[in-house]
Amino acid sequence: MKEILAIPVLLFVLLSSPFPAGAQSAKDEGLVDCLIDAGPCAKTKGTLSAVFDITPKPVKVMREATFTVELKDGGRPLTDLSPLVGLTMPGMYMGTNRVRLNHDRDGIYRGTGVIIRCPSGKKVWKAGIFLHPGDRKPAVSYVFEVN
Amino acid sequence: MEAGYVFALTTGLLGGFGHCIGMCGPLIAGPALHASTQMNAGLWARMFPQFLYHAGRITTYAVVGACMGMAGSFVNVAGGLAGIQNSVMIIAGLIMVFMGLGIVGLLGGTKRLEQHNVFVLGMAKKLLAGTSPLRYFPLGLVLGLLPCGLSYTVFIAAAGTGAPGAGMLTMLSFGAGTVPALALFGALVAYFSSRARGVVQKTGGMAVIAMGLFYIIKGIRLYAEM
Repeated sequence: MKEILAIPVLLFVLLSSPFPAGAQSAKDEGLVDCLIDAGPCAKTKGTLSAVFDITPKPVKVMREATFTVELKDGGRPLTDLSPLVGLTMPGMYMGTNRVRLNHDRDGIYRGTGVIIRCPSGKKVWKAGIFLHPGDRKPAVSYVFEVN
Repeated sequence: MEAGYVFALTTGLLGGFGHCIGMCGPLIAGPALHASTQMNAGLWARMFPQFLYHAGRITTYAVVGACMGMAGSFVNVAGGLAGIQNSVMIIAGLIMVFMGLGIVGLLGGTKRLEQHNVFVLGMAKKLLAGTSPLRYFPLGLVLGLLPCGLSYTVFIAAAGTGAPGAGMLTMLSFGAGTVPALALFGALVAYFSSRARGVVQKTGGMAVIAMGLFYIIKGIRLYAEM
């Protein structure tokens, strides 16, 4: 009986891993709500408005990039925050790559970070904007694809 | 403990179950299945090579983490390692193919290939055909260089420390965090593989060969994308 059980267990263990990456990628692409290479992406949540951008274009993995977020509350620039961008992957646990932002001017915050390459071939990333370092949930988030 | 180390440890713990088993499971399963063809030993004796393998890869993480911390830049060090890492992916695939051949009992059939001075194949066979569990430590050292998105995330944090000691400790914390999930996974494979005989074991061996070929193709594709 144990020998019979061993067949599916071993096969599942050995073959379940990196192969579904292609199908998962197609599913992740449906989540994209920000065409980051086309320009900044704007979102609002209540009275908060956030405009997110990454430069230089086209955005590439494994290169230093500048992350910019413009934050306003009711049209008034928010200038006294310590926000950060938390980069995660919707299709796979990749930890959270945190990019700290510093205030530049008029509610515009900038920071330098790197979008890493996923060797499985996945390209869809999620950028969560956390207004304070201790926040558990992002105020807004953007899903984008990096080629 | 500093917040950075807790972050690395937590990322390792969560990533062990959510990422490493999926991406590196075949690399853990290969030695477990391979060991089952060579040893009539208990579970601990089967697990010991796996712990040596983990010690090897965590040592590599720590060394690279120290380099990242010293350089203070992820991109510079990762850029320098990119070619090596892609080669390691191909080597890992070759090793898995050899493990699979060993499991299905065809390792002796590669002598003709080796006669044509295929260096890597000869080295892989020497590594896998031995009986000492100590050979899994250097295997871990080499395969610790496999390109891995999860470890990249923590390498960025290691680079951000700006100090070699802190960079090393960050990666040690991360590596330690990945061990519980992979050890549990390895124990499950070792348990089931010890009960797998004949056709079952050969099927497992064929699956390891298939995964090895997948790693080789992936490594070549990563080279092409550079």
